[in-house]
Amino acid sequence: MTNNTTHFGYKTVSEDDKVHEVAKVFHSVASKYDVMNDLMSGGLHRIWKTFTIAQAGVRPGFKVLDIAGGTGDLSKAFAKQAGKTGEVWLTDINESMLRVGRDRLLNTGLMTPTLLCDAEKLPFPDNYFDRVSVAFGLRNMTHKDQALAEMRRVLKPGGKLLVLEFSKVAAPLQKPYDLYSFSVLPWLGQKIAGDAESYRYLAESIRMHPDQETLKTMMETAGLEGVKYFNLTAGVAALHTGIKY
Amino acid sequence: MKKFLVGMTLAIAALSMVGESIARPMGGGRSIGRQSSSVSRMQAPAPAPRPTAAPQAGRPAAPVAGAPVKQPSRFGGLIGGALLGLGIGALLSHFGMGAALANMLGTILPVMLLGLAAFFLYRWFRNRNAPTNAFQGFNQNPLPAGGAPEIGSGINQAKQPAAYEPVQQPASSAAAPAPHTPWGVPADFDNESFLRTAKTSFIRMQAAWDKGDVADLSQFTSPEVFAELKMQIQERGAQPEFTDVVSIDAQLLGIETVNNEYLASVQFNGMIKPAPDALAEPFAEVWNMTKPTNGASGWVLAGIQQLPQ
Repeated sequence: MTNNTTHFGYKTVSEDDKVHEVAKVFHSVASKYDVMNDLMSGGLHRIWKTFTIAQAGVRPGFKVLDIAGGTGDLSKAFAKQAGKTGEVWLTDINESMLRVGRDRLLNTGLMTPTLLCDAEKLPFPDNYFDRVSVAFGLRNMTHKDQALAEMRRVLKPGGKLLVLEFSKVAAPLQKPYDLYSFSVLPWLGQKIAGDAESYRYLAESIRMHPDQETLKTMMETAGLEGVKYFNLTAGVAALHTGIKY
Repeated sequence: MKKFLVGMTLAIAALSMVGESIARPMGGGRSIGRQSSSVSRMQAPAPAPRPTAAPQAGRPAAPVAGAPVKQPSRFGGLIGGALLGLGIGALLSHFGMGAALANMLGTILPVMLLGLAAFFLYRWFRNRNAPTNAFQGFNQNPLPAGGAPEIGSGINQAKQPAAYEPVQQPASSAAAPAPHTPWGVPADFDNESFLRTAKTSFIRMQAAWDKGDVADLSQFTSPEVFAELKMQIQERGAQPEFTDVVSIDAQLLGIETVNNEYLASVQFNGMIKPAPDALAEPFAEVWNMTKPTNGASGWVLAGIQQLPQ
């Protein structure tokens, strides 16, 4: 047990508690996750993911690690692109989400290795993957720097890390965005998933997540090079990419 | 001339796709091995609910009583017509009407979408009014949550068999035959993980079948099914097959005990691609899996059964 503290949304909690609180949120929302994503983002998350998939440029035979893969949107696309000679690992730290993802992949005829694992301690050898992706997962990790360093470690030299995450929205949109995420989101969460608290956490955790430039610096500190980012929908989300050399 | 040929080829290819074809998964789409009499007894007065035009996985289109044969051609005709339109577009562009082609494409696509929407609305309306017979009811009521049991969706094991009961429609029940009653899935049976494993085996064996990997097939098949599959693989020679499972849905129809063996019948529905560049085609068949009652070994595929026509 550690006595270090970290943030859980706007609350300050001990690090061990954060892990449990985050797990609780996702156990609670797993079954409704996709419906809620569509509703909350107006389908925008699909465009963001499509952009990420295009930027990943997975080719047949690639080894791909999908961290916090949840319900498997990215893995599904990667598995099709990597083909029969490729290897796509769907991983998540949350069992409920991973089960939903595994079943969804199976229903589309894809059998990919599925693994419950902690991104801060990846059970893979060094220099193994051509691509590592983490979509809307980094925000929930307790030690982001450690997780980024692990992602870099498992990448092959020349491999690419893709981090898709909510980010800092452009200044003119700040007010309406705040209004939306603190009033509409929890209300939607209550109506659809019967859980306002989890969605309040979502809104708060987005505010606490490092902005574009900070995350870029964090990735560089973790040893990734050529780090760049793309603002998506005026910075509501951002895709950061970095290469390991 | 070249463009004209390309246009014509496109049009012909589009038209040739109109004819309804059922994909041939492992075993060549024939019934082999152990057959379950309970499955054969699922007599349907209307044709078996093979997925027809609807590309929706897991919710095969129930044929409309009355004019089931006409249905696919109406759909096919629509697409065929639109694609023929494209062919004509290519033809026009040959005569220096490139801009016209672009315009036509812009017009055809929305019209095609509108047509599709109208078609589905029309079919939905007809389906709603059509009398529901037992077998259709069975198929129109897949598992809750769209057929894929999801974690936390609250599927109650005890309630599972109820999902297979036909819809009771007072108005049409007189015309409908005696409803098919499920021949039993024990209440404590772990349906969800059994079906997950079944789907996994289906995909894996399909891959082994394509490669002609008899060693892998032998692990999951009974001796008689293995013999039949091996023969078919030898017949086709060294030519590997291609099947890409695009979507798959499984339902446990029932479990019976026959001669010291459990016999579980699993119905698979879905779409497969018979060639890398082909369109996905629907398939539906029942796999009969057996396992010794003494638990000496695991589930193996003992027979493939085509649904009663």
